[in-house]
Amino acid sequence: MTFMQSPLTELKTPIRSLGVGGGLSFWIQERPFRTHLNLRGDGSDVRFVEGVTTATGVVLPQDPNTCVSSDRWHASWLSPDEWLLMGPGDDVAVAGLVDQLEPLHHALNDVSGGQTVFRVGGNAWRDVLASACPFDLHPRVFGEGACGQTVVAHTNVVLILVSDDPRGEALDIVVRRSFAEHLARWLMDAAIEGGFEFLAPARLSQPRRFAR
Amino acid sequence: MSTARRLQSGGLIDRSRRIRFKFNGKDYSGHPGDTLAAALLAQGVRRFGRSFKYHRPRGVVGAGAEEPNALVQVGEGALSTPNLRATQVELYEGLTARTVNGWPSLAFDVGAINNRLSRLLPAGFYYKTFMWPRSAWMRYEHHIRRAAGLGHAPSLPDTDHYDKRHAHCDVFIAGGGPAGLIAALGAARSGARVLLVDEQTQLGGTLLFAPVAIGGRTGLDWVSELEAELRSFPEVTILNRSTVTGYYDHNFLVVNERRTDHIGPGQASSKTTRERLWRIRAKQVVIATGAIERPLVFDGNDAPGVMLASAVSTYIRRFAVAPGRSGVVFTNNDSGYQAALDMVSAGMEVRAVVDIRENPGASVLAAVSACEIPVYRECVVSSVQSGFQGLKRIELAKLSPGGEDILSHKGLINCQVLAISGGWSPAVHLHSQSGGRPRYDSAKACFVPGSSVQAECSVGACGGSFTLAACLREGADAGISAAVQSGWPGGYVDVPAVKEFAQAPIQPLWEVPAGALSGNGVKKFLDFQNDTTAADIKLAAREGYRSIEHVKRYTALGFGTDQGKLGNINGLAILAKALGKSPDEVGTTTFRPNYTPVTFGTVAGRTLGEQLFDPVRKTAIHAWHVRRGASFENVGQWKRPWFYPRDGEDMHAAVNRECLAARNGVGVLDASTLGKIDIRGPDAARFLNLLYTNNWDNLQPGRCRYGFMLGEDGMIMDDGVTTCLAPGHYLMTTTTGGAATVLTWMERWLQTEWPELKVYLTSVTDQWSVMSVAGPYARTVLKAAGCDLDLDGDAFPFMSMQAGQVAGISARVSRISFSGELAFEISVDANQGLALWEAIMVAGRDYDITPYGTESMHVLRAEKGYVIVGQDTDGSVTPVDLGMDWIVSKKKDFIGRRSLSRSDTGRPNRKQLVGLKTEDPSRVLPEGAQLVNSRQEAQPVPMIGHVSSSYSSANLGRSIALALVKGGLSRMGGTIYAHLMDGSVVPATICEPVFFDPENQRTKS
Repeated sequence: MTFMQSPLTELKTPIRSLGVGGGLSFWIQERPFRTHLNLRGDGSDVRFVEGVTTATGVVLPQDPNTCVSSDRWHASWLSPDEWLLMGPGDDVAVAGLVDQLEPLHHALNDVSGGQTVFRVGGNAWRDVLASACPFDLHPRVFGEGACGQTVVAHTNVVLILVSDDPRGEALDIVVRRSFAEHLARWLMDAAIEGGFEFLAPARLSQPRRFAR
Repeated sequence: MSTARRLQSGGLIDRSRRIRFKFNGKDYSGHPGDTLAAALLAQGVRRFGRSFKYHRPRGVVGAGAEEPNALVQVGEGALSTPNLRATQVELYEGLTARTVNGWPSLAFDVGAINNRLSRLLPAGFYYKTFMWPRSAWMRYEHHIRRAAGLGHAPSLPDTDHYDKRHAHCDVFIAGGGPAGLIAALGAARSGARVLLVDEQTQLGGTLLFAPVAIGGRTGLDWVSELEAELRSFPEVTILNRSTVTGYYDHNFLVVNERRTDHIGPGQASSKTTRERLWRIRAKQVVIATGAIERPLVFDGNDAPGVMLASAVSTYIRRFAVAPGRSGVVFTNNDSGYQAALDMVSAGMEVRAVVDIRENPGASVLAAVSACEIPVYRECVVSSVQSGFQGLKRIELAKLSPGGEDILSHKGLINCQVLAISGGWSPAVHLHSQSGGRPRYDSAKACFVPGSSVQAECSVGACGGSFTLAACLREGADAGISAAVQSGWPGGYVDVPAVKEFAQAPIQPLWEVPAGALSGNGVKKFLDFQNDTTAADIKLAAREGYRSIEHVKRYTALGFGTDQGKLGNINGLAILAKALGKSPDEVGTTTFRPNYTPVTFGTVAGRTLGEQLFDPVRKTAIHAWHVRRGASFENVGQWKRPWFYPRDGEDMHAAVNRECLAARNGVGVLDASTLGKIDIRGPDAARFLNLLYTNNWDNLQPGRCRYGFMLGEDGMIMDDGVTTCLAPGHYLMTTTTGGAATVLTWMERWLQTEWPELKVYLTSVTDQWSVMSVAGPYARTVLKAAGCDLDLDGDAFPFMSMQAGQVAGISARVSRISFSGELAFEISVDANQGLALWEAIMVAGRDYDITPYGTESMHVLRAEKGYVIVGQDTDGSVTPVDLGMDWIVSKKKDFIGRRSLSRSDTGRPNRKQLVGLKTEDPSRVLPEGAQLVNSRQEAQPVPMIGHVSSSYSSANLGRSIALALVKGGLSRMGGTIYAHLMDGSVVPATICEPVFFDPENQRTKS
C-alpha cells in the first residue's frame, strides 16, 4: 500500500473557531480517497444503462440535477450524457463496468485522484454556502435526491444533498483537487461569524486499492 | 449644548439615553433614534456645508436618501467613509463627522468668491474654460476638485470585513412602507417565500411621521402588528438598513445591507461583517419605494432653512425636533399643508401657507384655517433673504394667471423655516432599471412607471398613487397576486380603513418668476449638490442642446452622489418648456444603479487578499516544493516552482545550476499543471485531424505526437502532445493556462458544428500528477526507482508511452521531452503524486537529482528553440511564421486552414521566429525589446520585430534569445539592433532558433 495524500494535506485538521455568540453552526469534513468515476455515454441506450446497473447496482438518473444511490454506489446526473459515479474502493465493480461498457461508445474516466469531497453540515450550512453559491438550496427546491453543478467561490463544484448522515442534513461538495484548499479556506472564512469546526477527514475503513 | 429645538414629547427617540458625538470638531449630543441631521438640527445647527461650485452655505433639505447638501465624512482613519448623507447616518457613541465640502473651513470659505464670480462659471464651465490649454487641465482639475470637496477616500487599508449572500424568493418587496408591508403580508399569508427590504432603521416608511389612523389604530401600531405577524412566518425574511441598489435582467436584484454602521466602528465582533451585498433572484417583484418630494424652483431656494415639507414633518414627528421658531409653507399641492399643521403642533409660529393654486383642497384648507394660519392663494415665494445662519425672511408675491410673471409684490414675511412642496416624484428608479420606461402623467405632474418589462409591479406612491388608502389597496392586491403568479394559492388580506385628507389636484409651476428682492444674481437651484440652476438649463437649450442626456452632461444636472433625486424632474420640465415640448417628449435621464452609493468593500466582499481573491491552484507535490524552499511563479491560477535556490544562491545561480544538472546529470520537473483532456470515441482521430494542423490518422496506440491548434484566423492558439492510449482513445495535453479555453473550444465545435462525430471529452487535468525526469541519467534513475518497463531505446522509443509500475505505483510513462534531453514523463494518480516524487528523489540521490523550476524549463526549451504559446506567439503567429511548415498538412482540412491562404498570411515579410545572439555574449536582452535595422535611423524608426524569449544559457556559456523579426527566416547571419529603455543599443546576429543539439541526438539517445 503506497502512501496516499489527499488534496487537503496542508490544512491541519481538526480546526475549531467559535462564532460571535460562542457557537458552532457549521462543520466541514473531507471524505478523501473515494472512487470517483466520470462516465459519458448515451443514456437512451438500454445496453448502456443496464450495463451500469449490472456492474454497480445503480440506475443512472435521467432527470437533470438528480442523483440515486445503490448500497455501495452513488450516481449524479451531470449533463444529458454525463454522470459522476462515486463509491468505495471496489475494483471488482470498476472492472465489471469496464467490461460492460467495452462494446459501446462511451468514456469512463477514473478521476479519484483529481477530486475530493467536502461534506458540510450544521444549522447554518445553507447560509454559509449562500455566501458564494448562486444555487437555490431551499429544501423545496434542492431536497433529497438533488444534485447540481455550479460555481462556488470561483470553483467548479458538484453539490449533492445528503439525507443519510447521522449528524443531520448535509451537503457533499465535490471539488477538483487543485481548487480544494481554496474552497476550504473560503468556506471557513464565510463561516467565521457563526462558528465552525473543520473535522478530521472521514477515511474509509477499507481504502480503495490501486492495483488496476 | 442647547437642546432648545428638541420637543418635550413625541418622536421615535429614546430621551432616557444620551449619545455624544463630534461634528466639525465640536461636541454635540443626541438620543438613540436620531440621525446625525436630526441631532444637529435639535441643537440649532443650520449650516451643514457649502455648495460644490458657488460655495454657498447649505443646510439640510431632506430627511432621507434624497439629501443633496448635508454630506459628511464619518469616522477616522482606515474606517472613515466619505459622502454619507447626515439624514441617514444613525448616531452612535463617539461618532465623529465633518462636512465634506467647504474647504478650508465651513466658516471661512475662499471658494465663496465663486458665488460673486458666478457669471464666469456658467453651465459647461469645465468644458468652456479649463479644457484649454489641454496641458494645464490636470492642474486646474486638481484645484477645482479640492475646492469642491466631496470627501476623502481613506488611504489606509480597510480593516472591516464584508460579505455577499445569494438569495432566492418568490416575492421580493422593495420598501417597508404601508404599501410594501401589506404586500408582504398578502404574499406571506399565501405561503410564498418573501424577502422584504427596507432602507431605514425600522419599518413603516411614511407612517413613521404621518399622523394617520389605520383601521382604528395609529399608523405605528398598525406597523408593529404587521411586522410581528410577518416575522412569525419562517419563509419571510426582512432586511432593515438595506437599500435595493440595482434591478437587473432576469429579476436579479442587488441589495446593500448595512450591518454594523449604526453601532460604530470597533463595536461589533471582528467576525461580523460591516456590510453585506445581497444578490437576489426573485420570481416576482413588488416595488413599493414611495415617492420623493420635489422642491420648488425659486430664487434663493437653497438657503439653509428651506426644507422639503415632508422633511419638516419628519423632523418634528419622528425626531421631535422643531427645525426653527417660525415657519412658512410654500406649496403647489395639498400635501404641503401637513407641514403647517406639524409645525403648529411643534409650537412653531406658522406665518403663512403660500399656495400657487387658486383652489386648495377644502379639507386641508379647513385644517390650517382652524389654526389661524393665513393662506395666500395664487401666490409664490419669489425670493428670500438669508444671512450667515440661513433663512431670515421670504418675499411673497402674487402670480399672474399663467404663472409667467409676478403681478404684484405683497411684502416680506420673517421666518426661519420655509417648508416647500412642489409635488411628488415617484421613485421609479427600480422600475426604470428593470427596463421599464416611465411615462409622464400630466394630471399628477410626475413620471409614473410605464409598462412592466420584467415580472414586477409598482404600488403606492412609487406608482403615482399618493393616498394611503390607495397604497394599502394596491399593496394588498400586488402581494397576493405576486404570490399567485409564483405558484402559490391566493391569500387574503383585510384592507383597513384609513382617515386622511381628501386631495385637490396639484398645479405644477416648474419655475417661479423672480421677485423684487432678487438683484442681478438670481439663482433658482435645481440640483443643489452640483449648483445647477434653472438658468443653466435654459442656457444649454439656447446653445443648442436638445437631448436631456446631453443637457445633463453639459450642466452636471443629476451628476452628484444623490443622482439628482430632487432636481432632475424639475430640470427636464424646464428644458421641455424651453424647447417647446412636453415633459413626456423630453423624457427622463436613465436611472442607473446604484440608487445610493455602495462602498468598494461591499463590492469586493470576501474576494480579497492572497488567499481568497482568486483560487490558488496547487499540485499534489506543492508542499514538497515549499519545504525545498522553491520560489513560485503564477501560471494561470497555478503556483508553479520557479526555481529552487540553495543557500546563498540568487535566481541566476540557481537556474544555471538546475540547467547544467538537467543537461549533464538528471533533473526533475513537476509538470502536473499541463491541461489534460481525455478524448474517446470512434471519431476521435477525425476530430483531432480537424483540431490540429498535422495528420492523426496513422498514430498508433502507445505513440505520441506534437500538434498545433489554430484559431479560425489561422493563428496559433495552443499546442501540446497527444498520446494514443488505444484505438479511438487519446489523451491530449494543453498549455497550463489554456486548458479550460481549449476544452471549451473543443466542446463548442463538437456540439455546434460536428454533432455527428462520436467523441466524448473529459477533463482529467487534476487526476494526474506528472513529473518529467530529464537528463543523461534519466533512464538510470527510473530503473533505480523500480520502473518495471524496458526503458532502452528500441523497446521504448522517443515519442511513445507505456503503462507500468514505478516505485510500486501504477503509472503511465511517456518518453517525451520539452528540455531536449533524454526524458521520461511519469503520470500517476494525484493521490500518489507526492509518494512517487519522493521515490524518484530517493532513487536519484546518487546522481544528484536536481529539481528544476519553470525558469530552467524555459531556458532548456529555448536552447532547443521550442516555442511557448503565448510567449513566443501572440495571436498573430502562424506555424509557417515559426518555420514549422512541416507540421501543416496539405492533404486535409482543419480549423484555420483557409486563413493560412489569405494574402496577408502568405506575404513574405511577416514576422518570423529566429534566434538572436548578442555580439557581447554576456549581454542578455530584455524580453519585449524592440528590434530595428540600424543603430541610428531617422524617426519614426520602423520596428521590425521584438524579442520574445531571452535567457543566459549556462550550457552554451552565452546569452540566447528568440525573436519575431519581419522576414527573419531570410536574414540569417544578418545584424539587428535592440534599442533599450536606458538608451543603449545592443547589436545581435540573427541565427537559427535551435542553439543546442540541432540533430536531436539527446532526446533520442
